[in-house]
Amino acid sequence: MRWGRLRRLSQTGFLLLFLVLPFTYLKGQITVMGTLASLKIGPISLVDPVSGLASMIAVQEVGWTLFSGMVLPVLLALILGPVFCSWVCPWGLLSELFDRILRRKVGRIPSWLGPLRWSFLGGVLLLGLATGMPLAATISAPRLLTVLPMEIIFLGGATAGTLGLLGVLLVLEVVLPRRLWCRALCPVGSTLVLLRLRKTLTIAWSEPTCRPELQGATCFVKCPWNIDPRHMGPRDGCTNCGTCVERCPSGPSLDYSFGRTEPEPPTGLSLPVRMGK
Amino acid sequence: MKSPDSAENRSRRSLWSRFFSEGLRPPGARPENEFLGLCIKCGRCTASCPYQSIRQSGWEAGLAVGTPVIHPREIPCYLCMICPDVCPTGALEPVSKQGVDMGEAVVDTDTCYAFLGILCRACVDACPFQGTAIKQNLALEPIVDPEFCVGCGLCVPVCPAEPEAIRVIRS
Repeated sequence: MRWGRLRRLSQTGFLLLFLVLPFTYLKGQITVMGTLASLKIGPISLVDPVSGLASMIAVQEVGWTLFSGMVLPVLLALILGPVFCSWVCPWGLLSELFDRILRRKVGRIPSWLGPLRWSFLGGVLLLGLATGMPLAATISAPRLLTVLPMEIIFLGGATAGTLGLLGVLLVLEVVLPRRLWCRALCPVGSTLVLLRLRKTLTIAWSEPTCRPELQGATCFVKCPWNIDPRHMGPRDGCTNCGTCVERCPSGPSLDYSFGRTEPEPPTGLSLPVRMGK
Repeated sequence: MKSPDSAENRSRRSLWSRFFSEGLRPPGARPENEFLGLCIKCGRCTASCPYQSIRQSGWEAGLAVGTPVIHPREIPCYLCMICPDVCPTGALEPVSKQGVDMGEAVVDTDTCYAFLGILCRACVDACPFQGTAIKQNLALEPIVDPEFCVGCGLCVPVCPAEPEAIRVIRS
């Protein structure tokens, strides 16, 4: 399966959607509208889980409207994992583009990345509680990047607020180690990673068929998140992008799987067997 | 004297309100501290407004950057009541037109033409609650009744005085 091509198609599709939507608002279309903080599709309301959570924390009250909007995105993350990050988020696309332009090298995930991720998420949520404002929503990169076209196309100009926050994120993206905002700091992504359960879609590694002596550990080198799919924990931040599955030179040794308990290769989503010549 | 609607004046006005005016919250907004806690700045109210009245606040709003505001000097609220229904967080709650409380119009009696003895009833005619929210007294001067004024700001851009002799104070 050409997961990489499918994923690019999905990412650009969502990017185009948020570029086209503001033009339709000008014509009065509001059946499908919103941004990646909250999207309305007909009667269905979708709310980014961490934005909703931050809002609940800020007012210390659980609103029914808000809660019901969070249900479907949370379910998606519980079943398919943080696919939002790799298949939907336009900041992810931009961040991957930066990786390519800056020709960044692959390196092992530093040990401080995990602690940084959770303390930053906790810190932002606590600061939200202290200030009484959903700051996690304010600094959400997918929100900013989808609000921007609306401001430019629908309102006729970007605001200093959106541009300023995006500017800060861009500087962090360039100055800090590879994709640090995406991998460790983004509250949206961290929350989705937190929602990973034992049976959530993941990348399963079958050791007997793995033959790194063929081309080296392609999976680790090609991973846009610097994760080694062979030795990863559930909270290491894998977003199920599928790059390692597609690039695996020993065919079936990496594949999508619901849960990683069963040792035999999974059925259903598995690839055709391509063993050595 | 420059015409109040000259391009130069309009741009100065919009610059002024973009950077220094506080702006009003959209109709149906919860009390400000709850509003700030609930609003996730998703932009759905902004996108739903057919008049483009709802803008996103800038850095002058501090941590509330990105929250929706209405600047009646630029575009007032026409009370179409679409935006309260599209808010996903409950920061805006559905209300009736009469129940809206965005602010309260205040007339500057020093610059208002009617108070200066010039016949003018532009604000009275623009008011959607004409006869209750803005009334004319026996001297034909406009008098705002805070009990009925919802703060939509429709009276602001029509005021011929320069600067406007009527403005809306956020409630």
